[in-house]
Amino acid sequence: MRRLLGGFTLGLGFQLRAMVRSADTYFALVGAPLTTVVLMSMMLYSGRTDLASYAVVAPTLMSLWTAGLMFAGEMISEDRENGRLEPLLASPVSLPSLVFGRLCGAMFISLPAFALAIVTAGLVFGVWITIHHPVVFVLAVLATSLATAATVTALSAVFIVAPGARIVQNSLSMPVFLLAGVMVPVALFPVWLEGASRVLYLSWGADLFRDALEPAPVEAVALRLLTMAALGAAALAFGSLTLVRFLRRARAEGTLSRV
Amino acid sequence: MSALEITGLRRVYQRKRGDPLEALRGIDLVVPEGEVHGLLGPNGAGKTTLCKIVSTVLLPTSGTVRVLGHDVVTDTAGVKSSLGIVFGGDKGAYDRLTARQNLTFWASVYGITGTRRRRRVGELLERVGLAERAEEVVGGFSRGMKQRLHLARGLVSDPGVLILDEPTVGMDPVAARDFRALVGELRGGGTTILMTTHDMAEAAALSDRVSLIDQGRLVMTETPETVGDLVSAYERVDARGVPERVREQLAVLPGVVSVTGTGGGLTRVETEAPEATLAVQRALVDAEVRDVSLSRPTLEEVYLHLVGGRGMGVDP
Amino acid sequence: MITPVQAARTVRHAAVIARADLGVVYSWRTWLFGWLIRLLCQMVFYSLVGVLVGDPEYTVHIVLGAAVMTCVAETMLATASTCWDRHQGTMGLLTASPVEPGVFYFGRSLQWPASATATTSIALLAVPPFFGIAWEWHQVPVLVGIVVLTCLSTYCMTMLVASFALVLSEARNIISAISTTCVIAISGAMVPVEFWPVPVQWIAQALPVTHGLAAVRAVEAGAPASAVLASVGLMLLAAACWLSLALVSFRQVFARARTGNGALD
Repeated sequence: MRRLLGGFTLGLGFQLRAMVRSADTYFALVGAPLTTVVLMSMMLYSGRTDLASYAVVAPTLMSLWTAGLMFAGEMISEDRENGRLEPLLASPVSLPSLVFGRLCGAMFISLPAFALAIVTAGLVFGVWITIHHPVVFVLAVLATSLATAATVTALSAVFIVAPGARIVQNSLSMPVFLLAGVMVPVALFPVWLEGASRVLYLSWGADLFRDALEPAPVEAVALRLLTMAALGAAALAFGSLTLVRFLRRARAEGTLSRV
Repeated sequence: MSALEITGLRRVYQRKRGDPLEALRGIDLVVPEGEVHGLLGPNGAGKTTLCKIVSTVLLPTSGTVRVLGHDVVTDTAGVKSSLGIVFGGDKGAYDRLTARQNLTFWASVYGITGTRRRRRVGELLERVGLAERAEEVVGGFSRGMKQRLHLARGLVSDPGVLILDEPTVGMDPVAARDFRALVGELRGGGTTILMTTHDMAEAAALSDRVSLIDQGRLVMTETPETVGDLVSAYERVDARGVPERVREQLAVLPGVVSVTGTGGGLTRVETEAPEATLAVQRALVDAEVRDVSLSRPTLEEVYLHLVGGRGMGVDP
Repeated sequence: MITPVQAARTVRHAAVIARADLGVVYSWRTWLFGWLIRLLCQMVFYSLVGVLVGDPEYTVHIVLGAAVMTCVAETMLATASTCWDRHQGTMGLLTASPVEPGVFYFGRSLQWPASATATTSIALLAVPPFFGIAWEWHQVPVLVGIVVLTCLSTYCMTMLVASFALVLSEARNIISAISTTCVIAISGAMVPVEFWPVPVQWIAQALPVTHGLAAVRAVEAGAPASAVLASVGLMLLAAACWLSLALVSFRQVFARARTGNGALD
């Protein structure tokens, strides 16, 4: 347990420090206000200011996923290329929990992203979004962030086992945004597609985010949070197992330092 | 007409913090056509800055540089078309193109077209020994092969003057030997070559004349033989466990330049004549010092000593 | 001064590098199932916003806009590939060679407008039918023709952006992301150009893709050929201006590198 917790907190702290200095962080952030401008303009043009909160939620979730995917793709391979992976494995921390910790650290990007989206909507278009259910909102942020970190941990495991998959890394963002309904709720999709979307934790997160900003009461909060937690846990379990199996094999075959 | 005419060349780098850095402090150098000129100096001496200015990549702060009569500031186009450059290291090729595609690209950049280009590229590949690998992607080449490709690239425009900046850096001994053989061939062909290196042996083997450059100044220009004599005159003796009394004795021996402690109980004695070295060794044997070794200082150390009056043990 | 023949030769040989790069970045499989799917998803993502707000007419507007924007996202990749020479170590050799920098870079990233022509054509021809836009057979070659010119024109604009990215190569991805999204916002793709304040409208008029999109919309609306041609003409004019600026800018970047400020290697 100490190994796991140690790895987690180490990774979290490391990632936060690294992100402040990394240009990539700001790259992931710069998209949020710009996407807000595009989506807000569409809401205003079509006269649907009642949907303005959608135009703030979507950029936030997009930043979250983009950052997660970006760091997940680069983290292990960078360590590997720079020869840091072997000393890391020789150390007493658990690699999966270190990776998960680092990716949880990366999730903190959602806070400035959300703030930037809100401020952009307010300053550029004069539409100020109110958070009607602050408690639900905070819970939604937490659950979505943790589930995202868990899911991208699984992806980072896939990237290291099958380096060829990194080529599609950049292509993985838009299909997820579409399928998870970060902008257009999956409830508007055809039934068969909605069913597929519900497997993605992000579709639950997007709905809960939007509901937390709306004045109407939020239904079934606990159940929805639990669903997200379960989907996240499944991803984390898959990711950890894949990583551990990969490391065991690499140690046996001596392929660790090979890129 | 001289191939290379450098007069009063200065180059100052403005730095964001700290004082401006003067990389070249008034260089005067004339290289006649057909000469292979070695430019020797330690890292940071200004060799690469000089190469960059000659190859029009960098502007001089003051002074003039002419390449086959073309001024690097006012007649950049003329310089570019009469100059080939080869930087050391294995970077600088398009890894995803084949050797032939790389050379074809550079040939067309230098305005060589059609059958002339095809023939030229073929000849060069043959000459640097890459003809059989010509259709392979450069990314898979060994370091030595890449460097041979660089040399071919530098020659693609059949330049009158060729700049080689640390061309054999990082090469294994066999590759470096082959490379030198190629340069030797070029020398026979009448190409003027300016080659920087910090390898004395390399400079001596290839150059007609050698210039020593240090801290942005040209210290001397001599034939390799003269420089070689200077180096062989200097020797140093390292010994462990030398009593203080013996150290004092050594310091006053004729021909001893300096006696320094380099830490860890090591004493370094520098001499400027073979007889002095013998005398030092004898004194050490007499004092029953067993752990003695003889070594030759690097060229860099010798001329730093020569020009600066600095002890050889002092890190430049 | 460089002659058109020399320029064409430089472009042709630089394009060899472009083709090799494309072959490394994508196999046909990753292009088809990775890249194309991603771009189509992006298009559907925006198009569905029309469904969300519940306005079929507006949906048609977005679908066409989003389809044409595909070419912006892709040609903007030239900002990245322009910087690749800095990692290859060829920068110093290029600056020392007699090559005309802007012309070289124009050829060096041609893989993106070429690929963009394919992706944008597919986006424009294949997706709109799902949103109630039925193309007629005779419109197809016209649309593809407009797409080819729009991709090339947008590429001319990208070249100027790329010349900045070459200097600030650390920020090249941010630069291209900002540029892409700004173009998507103001070029009339998602909301009509008139939605924005007048100064922004002027900027929009300077973007080649604004006119390319207008031409596509004119085809869709069944407007007379003269209207389509007028838009295409404006686009080519804008493209020529951007390309000229890019050529000057690349020269400046190389000249500046020579002074020792803003070294490129």
